[in-house]
Amino acid sequence: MLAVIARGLGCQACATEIEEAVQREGLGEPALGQVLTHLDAPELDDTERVLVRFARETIWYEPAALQRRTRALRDRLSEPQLIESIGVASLANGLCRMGATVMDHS
Amino acid sequence: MSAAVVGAALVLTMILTGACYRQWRRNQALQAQLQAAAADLEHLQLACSRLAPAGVVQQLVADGTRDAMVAAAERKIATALFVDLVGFTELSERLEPAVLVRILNGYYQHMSDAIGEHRGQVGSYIGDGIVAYFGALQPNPWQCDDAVRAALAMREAIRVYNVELDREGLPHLSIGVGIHRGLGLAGLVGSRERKEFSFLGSPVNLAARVQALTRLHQVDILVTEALRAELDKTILLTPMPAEHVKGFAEPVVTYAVKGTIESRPG
Repeated sequence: MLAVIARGLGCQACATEIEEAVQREGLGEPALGQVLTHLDAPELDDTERVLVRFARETIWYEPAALQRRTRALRDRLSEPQLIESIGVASLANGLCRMGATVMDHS
Repeated sequence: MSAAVVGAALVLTMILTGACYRQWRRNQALQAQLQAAAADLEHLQLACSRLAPAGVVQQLVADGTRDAMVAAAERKIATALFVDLVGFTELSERLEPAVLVRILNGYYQHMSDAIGEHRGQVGSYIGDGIVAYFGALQPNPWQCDDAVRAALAMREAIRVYNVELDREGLPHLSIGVGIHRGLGLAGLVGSRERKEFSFLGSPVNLAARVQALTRLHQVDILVTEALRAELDKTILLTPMPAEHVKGFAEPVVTYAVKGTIESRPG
């Protein structure tokens, strides 16, 4: 989710850091590239696929679309998972926006 | 002594009570003004949303209207989608104006919904045609996939709309969609009195030309080579013969979009 949001917001510094971390977690470069380029990859399971698309939806805050995606997410995740997903998306947006701002001014 | 103190305290209390009451009244008045201003703003946003994409309105508000008229224009790579009704002229001659307008409004609504659902912005309605942009208003690294998925959603929306039209004994609609990606100028353009968000340049012109090629190739969705190169491989394409189009020196290679090999949730 962090990597998708970093790419969507154009924070190159965040993207590089996160991509390295994701690869250390076991997602190979081709699969990560596929996810970041097309928001999908055969390596993703259904829940991960939904989370990736939800992450993308949070980048440009458009209430109707965001609410629709969040409701779709609610049908697939338990309540703690849903809260965690929303929290991760919020943190990722904050982090990447700050990163993008810092990069713009440096 | 004590009477004087009590008297002074009473006077002070009255003065304080009066001041508090005046402040309370002032707060009430300010709160009412604030609520009225918020209601006005909501009405204004609602009115604006009917004239321009919500994102454009938000950007105008965020940038400040005076600066936004100048600063919002920039060169960027975006994707243009052009959709047109096939056989509209013949249809318009056959149908009553009221019926025609109703059919057209349904068509515009379905197409606009498909575009919006896939993060595109309707640029303008040109007769029975619609031009939409992906990645022109906000950066969108997934703009090519979005545009093609929007076109596929349009195909499905027209199929569903035709069932509805069929029930009313009205003629079926069919569409032609052309999509191309390239560098253009995105921003607010127009006269001092009337401006609209637009994406200008050869990507839009070529998307319109490619849309016209759908008649020649007898398909409903065509994309260019520039777009194909960026597309998700799960989108199935069929190459079409290269064709010369007006305004472009080189023959244009296009691909018909057949569908997707996925049917995944989300």
